[in-house]
Amino acid sequence: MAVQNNKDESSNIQKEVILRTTGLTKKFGKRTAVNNLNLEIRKGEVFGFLGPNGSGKSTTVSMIVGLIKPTAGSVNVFGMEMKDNYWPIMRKLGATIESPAFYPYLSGWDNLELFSIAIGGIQPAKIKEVLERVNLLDRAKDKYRQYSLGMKQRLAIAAALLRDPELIILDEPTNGLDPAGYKEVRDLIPSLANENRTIILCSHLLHEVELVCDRVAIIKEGNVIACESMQMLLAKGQMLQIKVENPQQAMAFLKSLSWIKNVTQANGYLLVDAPKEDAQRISKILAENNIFVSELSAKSSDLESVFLELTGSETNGKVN
Amino acid sequence: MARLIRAEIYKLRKRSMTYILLLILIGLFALIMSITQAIALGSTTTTTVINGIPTTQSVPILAANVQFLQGAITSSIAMLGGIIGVVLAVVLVANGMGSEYGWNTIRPYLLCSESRSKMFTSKLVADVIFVVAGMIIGVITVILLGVLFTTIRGFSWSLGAGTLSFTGNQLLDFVRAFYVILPYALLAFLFTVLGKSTAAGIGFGIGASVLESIITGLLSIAHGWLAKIPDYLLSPNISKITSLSGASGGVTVRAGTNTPGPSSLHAFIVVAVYCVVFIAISYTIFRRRDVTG
Repeated sequence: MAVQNNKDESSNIQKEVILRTTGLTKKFGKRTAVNNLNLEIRKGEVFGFLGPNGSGKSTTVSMIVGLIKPTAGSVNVFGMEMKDNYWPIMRKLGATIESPAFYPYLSGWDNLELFSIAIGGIQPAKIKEVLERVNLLDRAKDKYRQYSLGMKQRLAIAAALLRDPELIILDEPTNGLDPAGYKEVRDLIPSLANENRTIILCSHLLHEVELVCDRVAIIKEGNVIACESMQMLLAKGQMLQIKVENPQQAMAFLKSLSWIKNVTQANGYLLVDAPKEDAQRISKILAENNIFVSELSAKSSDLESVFLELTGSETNGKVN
Repeated sequence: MARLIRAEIYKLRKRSMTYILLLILIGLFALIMSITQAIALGSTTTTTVINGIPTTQSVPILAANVQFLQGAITSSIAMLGGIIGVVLAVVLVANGMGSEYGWNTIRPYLLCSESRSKMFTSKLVADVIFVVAGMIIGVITVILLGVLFTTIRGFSWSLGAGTLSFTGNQLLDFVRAFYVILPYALLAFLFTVLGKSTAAGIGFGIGASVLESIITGLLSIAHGWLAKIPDYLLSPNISKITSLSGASGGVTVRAGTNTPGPSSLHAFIVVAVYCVVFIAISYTIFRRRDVTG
């Protein structure tokens, strides 16, 4: 069952919904790759789509751009149904799906020129502009087959930008990039969003998503298990770290409080599942019960720990 | 649609394989013509009946009587509609579509295409344009070589009964040659789409003609309804159309028998039906199938 985000900030609620999937489902034989996916993506936001390999991310974006036909459900982009308005939508949508793929016997420039001819109405100046933007202009005349994986990734982003899209879908755009290239793409994403474009970033790199995304959906085995603003998602994993003389007594007491979700013990500290706003309240109530706190700090969480908690998976900064 | 056809032409124009296939065609024609002009001056055979017994004699010929250019044009068009034309067209068509799957460019290219139907049609139109262009270049090569050899070797400049009627006949043969290439090229296209691979397209495109010849040969010795099956296969009907050209005597019989083959109209209809069926199946698959990595 999909989880739909109803708790976003009021500012987001005001924004126009640019993409909506309703009950989007894809079955390959008996296997359900995507199950009843309900998503709303708003204008101007950078939306992270996170999940392990094979979780259904690429299938979902492929359904959004019409490469895969849904078994059930619908995709609505820019207020139009995809199945009836493919080209009016695609004219304003740029996407890189899975690994980059271009004609190896053509140069980077020629590949973009070919796509420009197919799309129509794109001037050579635009090709130059997008190549410059992804820092590939000086290698534009080299054959695609001579490009490194990082250069191929950047060419794919350039191709997605050709039609000046309002909505950009980037599926694993930093795969194969060196640290400098990784940073370039990471910096490029917010700059694109600042131009009033909407970006969907599919990634298994948790740090990448955490740095650039406003909202995140986490997908596992075809089901969305969380869809929140980054702020709210990270708040979910926030803990208070407390040191007391008698941790056993303190733990028993804190567990008896209904408003505290969970208490665990690690390395001599109590880890209390509560937001940092509750720190003063907890300190006070413990003191009133003759349990004196010697240390109290808020332990901020990262996306990795939240992801781990939500999915029960193991990560290494990557979701595999 | 025009945009997508332009894009397809751009792809084929920039691809070295297109020029390699063209060079093979030109090279083969040049080789065949060189051999032909070398033996044309040697001798010719005449058959005379003496006392009711046919006797073949070798008679030396005069260069001034050899209508080399006429024969070269006629036979080159016949060769285009034969194995040379079929193989080259099959390789071109299968490569054009198969590479899209092999390089995974089908994915980004579809995102730039107005619709799957238009992309599909544009591919076929571009293939037709390149096949016809290749055939024209082949014929021009033959004409140029024919003029060269005629000048050098002192062959006759005569083009037969009349230039206008000769040109008309050659144009008709050219159209027939294209028509007989078409079903094999479309079969290659179908299997390329079905197997998502160039090899599948080339294999089935060329293999079908070989397989059909074997089946036709086997069924020709059968009786009853089995003997009728070859009339509905490609190769006997294509043989019929080919036999209408100036390079052939205009007579076709079933292999191994003296039974006349299908009529011309029957042959044209059967080939057309095959073409439509091949296009319809490949279109349905292409339009419906998910594009996955």
